[in-house]
Amino acid sequence: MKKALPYAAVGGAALLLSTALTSGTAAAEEEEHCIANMDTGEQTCFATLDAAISAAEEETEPSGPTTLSAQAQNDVIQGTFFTERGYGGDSLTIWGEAPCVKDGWVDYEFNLTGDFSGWANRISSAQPWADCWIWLYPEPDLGGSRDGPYKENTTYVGDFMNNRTVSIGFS
Amino acid sequence: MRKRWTIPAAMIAASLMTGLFPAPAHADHEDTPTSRQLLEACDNGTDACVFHPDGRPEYFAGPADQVGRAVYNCTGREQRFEVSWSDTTTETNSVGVSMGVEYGYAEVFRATFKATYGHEWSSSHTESQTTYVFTGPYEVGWVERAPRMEQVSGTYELRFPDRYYGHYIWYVPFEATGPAPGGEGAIAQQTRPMTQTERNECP
Repeated sequence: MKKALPYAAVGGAALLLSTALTSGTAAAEEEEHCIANMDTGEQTCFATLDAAISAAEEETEPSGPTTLSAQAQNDVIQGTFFTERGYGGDSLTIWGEAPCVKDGWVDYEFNLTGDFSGWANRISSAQPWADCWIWLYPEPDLGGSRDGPYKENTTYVGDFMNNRTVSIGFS
Repeated sequence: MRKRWTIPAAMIAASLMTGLFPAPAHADHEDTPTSRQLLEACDNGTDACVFHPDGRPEYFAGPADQVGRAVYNCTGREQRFEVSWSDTTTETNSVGVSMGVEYGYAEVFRATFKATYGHEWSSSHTESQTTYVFTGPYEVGWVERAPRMEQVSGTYELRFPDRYYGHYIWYVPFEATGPAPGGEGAIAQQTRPMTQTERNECP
C-alpha cells in the first residue's frame, strides 16, 4: 500500500496518480498516461504499468511528507483528461502551482499545442482537481466557443466539445 | 498566465468572500497520518472530499474455491449427487477500511462509482444454488465457484480548511474490489479418485 501524500508532494503524487491510472484498468499496451507541469510544460509519459510503477516508486520513495523540497510546496494536481468516455483511453494529468481561486477569473490555461498537440481534439472525459472548474475551448489560447464549467468528475464532456478541445481553462 | 472572466461581475463578490485559496504548507512534519485517518476525515472535517476514478472497472474471475460439501461415490457405478451450496463474496480495499454506510469516504466512493459506471457498488453478494455432480465409481466430487469480481482504483483528494498534519490537501490512493453485478461466477464440478483411506471409510 502506498503512502498518502500531501499536495506539497505533488511531484510524487502526480506520478502516483499516473500509476493508479494504469493499475486498475489492465491498460492496453498502446495506452499512454502522461503528466504535465502547467508552468514548465514538462511532460512525462508511461507506456506500461510496470514503467509507471517503477517511475512512481523512484519519485515517491525518497520524498514523502517529511522531506519535501521548498519549490514543491505549492504544487497540486489541477485536472485529469481522458481520451475516452468514462475515464478510458489515454490520460493527461496537469499539475500546477496552487489550487484555483473562485474569483471569476480563469487562473490557469493550458494549450494542447506544440509538444501537447497529440492531445488536441481527443478529450472525452475530464476530472477537475484542486477546487478548479474546467473550461474546454476548441481553439488555442482559450479561443472559440467554450463549454463548461465542469465542476465535478465528468464521464463525458458532451457532444459540443467531445474530441474538439485544443485549450483548457482552469478557474 | 492570462486571466479571463468566467462569470458575470455580479457573481464575483460572493465568490471573493469564500476565501478558498489556501496558504502553502511551509513546514515539514514528522507526523504523517495514515490512509485510514485521512479517509475517516473525508466529509468529517474536510472542505471537500473527492474520489477520482482512474479508469474503467476491471472485471476478472476471483479465486475458485470449493462450495458445499464433497460427495463420495462408494459404488461401482456412476452416480449423480445433488450438492446445495451458498457462497458469499465480500468487498475488500487497499486501505483495509470498512465501507459501511456510516463512513463519509464510503458514501463518496459509492456515489462516484454509481455516477461513473452506472450501476451500484456491491459490498456483498450471496449466491445459492443446487448443482448436480456426476462421479465415477469410487470418485470424490465437489463444486467449485470462481466469483466474478470488479475492481476500481483511484485517488481520494481531501481538501482541509486548516492544515491537517501540516497540509491543506492530501491524496490517498485507493483500490476496491467487490462482487460484479449479475455474476453467479464460474461454477464447475470436479472429481478425483478416492484415496485408499477414503475408500476404507465407505460402508
